[in-house]
Amino acid sequence: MIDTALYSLDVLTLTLLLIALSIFALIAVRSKSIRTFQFQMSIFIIIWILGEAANTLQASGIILPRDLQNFGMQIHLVSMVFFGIMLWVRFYYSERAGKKLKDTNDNEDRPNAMQ
Amino acid sequence: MFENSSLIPDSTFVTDTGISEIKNLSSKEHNLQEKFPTQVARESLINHNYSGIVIEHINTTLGIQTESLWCICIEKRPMHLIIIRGIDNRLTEIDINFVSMIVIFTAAVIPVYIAIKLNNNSYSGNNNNNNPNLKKLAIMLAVFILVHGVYHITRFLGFNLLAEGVFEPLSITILIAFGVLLYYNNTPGKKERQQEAKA
Repeated sequence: MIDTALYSLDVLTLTLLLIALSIFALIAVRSKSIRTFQFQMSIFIIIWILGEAANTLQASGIILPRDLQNFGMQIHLVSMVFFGIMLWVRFYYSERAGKKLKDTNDNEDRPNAMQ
Repeated sequence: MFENSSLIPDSTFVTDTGISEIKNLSSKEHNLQEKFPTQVARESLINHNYSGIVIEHINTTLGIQTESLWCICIEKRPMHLIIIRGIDNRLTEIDINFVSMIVIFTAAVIPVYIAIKLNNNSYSGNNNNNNPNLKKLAIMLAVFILVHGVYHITRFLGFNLLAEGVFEPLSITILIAFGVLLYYNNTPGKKERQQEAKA
């Protein structure tokens, strides 16, 4: 009963993730650059989807052998690490660029980590 | 623990081995393979005058022993007891959720910091190029990360249904809302909309 509920929730999660991916991929395509926040968010969501897919397939016993314990969760962890590093690196570079700009021109706008 | 017990037969060998060796052994030589608690496994061998191999599979969580599974392989030979220990140091679900929790809350620092700084109007400068949606975006990203962090906490505590049923869909829904806001923030004509928002 609980297994069936968890399986259904996995499918719901996958569906929501695909919607999120389509939105971020659309913005990433419009921006036409791989260095944008949107593109990197798309990569993060793709890794997350792979993890969820692995979880779902493992739960249903379709593809992955049960020997690979928590394989989906491990991929999920990779996506979280990627996301964390991405935010910190973007923040670091934006701060550094902001300081440089401030040194040269105090009236210049400081770039931010989310654009 | 076995060396000091009076129940242990004379010929007892205790060896430490890797998990792969245990798997090979248990798949090859089992006549009876079940999971027993330590004492039951030991006594059942001795009371029935069986010999056998007791395989201990120690599971660890965050480096701490959480459970010890026993597998006994019995053979009707003169009494010998071989004890093989293997420690499973692979990442468990609890380990993964714990690490994810730390990673995600570390990541949450950035949008929270940006949102606070934008609140004080000290982060994006004082020129006319300010983006009024930037604070909303930062808050939404922070909420997404924090809700996802709560998801990992609930999974870490073992409330899987609550985590999978409430917090994970909720966090992804917030991520979708963040994406929609980002989409409208990046579509042509955003400057006009920003000026309207300012007005």
